[in-house]
Amino acid sequence: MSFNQSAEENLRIIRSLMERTTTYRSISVPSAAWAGGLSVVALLINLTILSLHHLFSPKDFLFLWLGVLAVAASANTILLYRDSLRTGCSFPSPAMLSALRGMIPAFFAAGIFTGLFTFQEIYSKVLYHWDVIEVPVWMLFYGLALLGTQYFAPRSIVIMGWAFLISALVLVTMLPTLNFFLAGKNPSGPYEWLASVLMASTFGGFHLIYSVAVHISLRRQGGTP
Amino acid sequence: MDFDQIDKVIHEKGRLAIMTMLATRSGWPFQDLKAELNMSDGNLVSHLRTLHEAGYVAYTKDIPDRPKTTYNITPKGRAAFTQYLNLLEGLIRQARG
Repeated sequence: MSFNQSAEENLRIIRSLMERTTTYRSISVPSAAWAGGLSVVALLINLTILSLHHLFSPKDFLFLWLGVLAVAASANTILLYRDSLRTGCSFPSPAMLSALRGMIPAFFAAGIFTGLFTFQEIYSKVLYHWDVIEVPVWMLFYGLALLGTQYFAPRSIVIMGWAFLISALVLVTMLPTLNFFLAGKNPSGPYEWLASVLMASTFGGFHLIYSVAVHISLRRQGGTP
Repeated sequence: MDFDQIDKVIHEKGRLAIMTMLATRSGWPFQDLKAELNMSDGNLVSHLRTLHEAGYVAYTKDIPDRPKTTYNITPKGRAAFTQYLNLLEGLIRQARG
């Protein structure tokens, strides 16, 4: 091998290693599938309880979806931990800590908004259907959290971040129209079923699409999904 | 351009890979380096020792529950790595005319 060939080979090694070590997938494919499946289950729970008891309060909606978040986040952590055991890497890895640092501001803001909407009565008076409004708020901050990792995340995570962000903004602009149609049928609500439908179709739907798309893409590249 | 200017410590593939990893992110535990580079313990230790002797790599040892050695690139190592990259690019540009 000539010196120039060896120089080119070394530059190729540097490039591929830099790409590999600076990319971190904060949501594994199986946990995204879990999150999608759980969202559908949560929607079914919401609709079943509503049809049986004709009652599903905004706080019921909140705790149902916080439950989905807790289970999905736990599943993601367990899967990432199992992955670290398989590869022999440390847990939490430096890349995982960097991703968390990128996500924490958006999750923190989402937590403050949720707390205010839920436990400060003035917000429920001003925002009558705060549970429905909470959906685009969660989507917006979740999208921003994913985009907070964009400098070392694979393209699929960045696309999902933008999908959440754009959908949240579209949904916010559509809420008055939705309210106009729904108010004619049942002015007093409850609207929690609508909030759950929106959550299942966005949070659930986007994660399912992500898991299928990344699974297919990694299979084509010969990697482990 | 003089080929002798190329840093022989970095130019070896194994050590180049280690320097690249350390340049991209700080605080690499030994086990993570080993997993990412797919090297044997002995090979990795040997390359890290060479880089440490050249002053390019520093390490810290923590023993909270089990020993853990974390590696970082030193300012001297980063400067040498940058110079190596510039030389490599210059050589390739020169060869391509």
